[in-house]
Amino acid sequence: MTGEAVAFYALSAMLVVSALAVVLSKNLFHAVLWLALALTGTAGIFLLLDAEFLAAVQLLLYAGGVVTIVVFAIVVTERLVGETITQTNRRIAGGALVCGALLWLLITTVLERPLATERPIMPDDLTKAIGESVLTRFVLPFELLAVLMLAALLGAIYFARPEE
Amino acid sequence: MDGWLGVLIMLVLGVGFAAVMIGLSVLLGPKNPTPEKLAPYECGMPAVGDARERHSVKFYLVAMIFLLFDIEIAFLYPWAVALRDLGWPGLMQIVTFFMILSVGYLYVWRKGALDWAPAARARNALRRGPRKAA
Repeated sequence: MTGEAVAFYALSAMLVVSALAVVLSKNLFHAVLWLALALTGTAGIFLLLDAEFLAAVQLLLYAGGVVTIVVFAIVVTERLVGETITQTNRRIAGGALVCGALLWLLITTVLERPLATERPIMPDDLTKAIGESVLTRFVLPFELLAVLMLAALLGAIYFARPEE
Repeated sequence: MDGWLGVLIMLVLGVGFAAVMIGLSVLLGPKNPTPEKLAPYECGMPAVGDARERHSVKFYLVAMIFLLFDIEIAFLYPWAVALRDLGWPGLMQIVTFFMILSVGYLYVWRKGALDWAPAARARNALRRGPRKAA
């Protein structure tokens, strides 16, 4: 087994364990901490795929930004602070049905085609390729993203407006 | 995937060092707990209330603003790497992106979301002053 495979399996095990811990922890804050670990593990997977920029963004935005937002959302919400949450739903039958259907769909899709054993050829410099495609081919979605972020900012200000 | 071995060694050493130190402290350290030692915050005064209380919603706002401008900065990197190939059109597009978000920045600034308590109080006092006189 190559080093890459060892790293992949170790990261995958970490990802599965931490993702399960996110949905199984009773304490909301612990779930957030596990989420941070899961997001960091995803960054590791990106690194294994030679996508350094994506890994950095994953750490910076998800493990850094999103986790901070969730922590602050817990801290500013009186009802959630120190709350013990139940992880089981009363509608177990319906949930099982949906999960089973999703699992069946995934398994049939995966079995339909053989799994790719070779990694597709990546551009030499993925960061540069991302920059070029974002600012040429996908420039309209890129500018629309700025509008979307503006809307998110205005919405956040509206909902959390300082007391007049 | 070359060149990441150093990072891996660093990670293993960092986590390992912390784990060994905490483990040794748990195993070898003397345990003599008193109520004062078990208090979450020991400062001479008895603690009042619960640490888990509701905080100002401004913290959430700060986190949101941080995340949005964090995304903005993250988009600078791929542009900077492809700077020479993209030329002037690329510059115009990234400037447009920044201008759109600058509107949000100005709005946040003018709305006083960046002012913390003393500044906000001063601003409100200024605003209310003439109204009271009238």
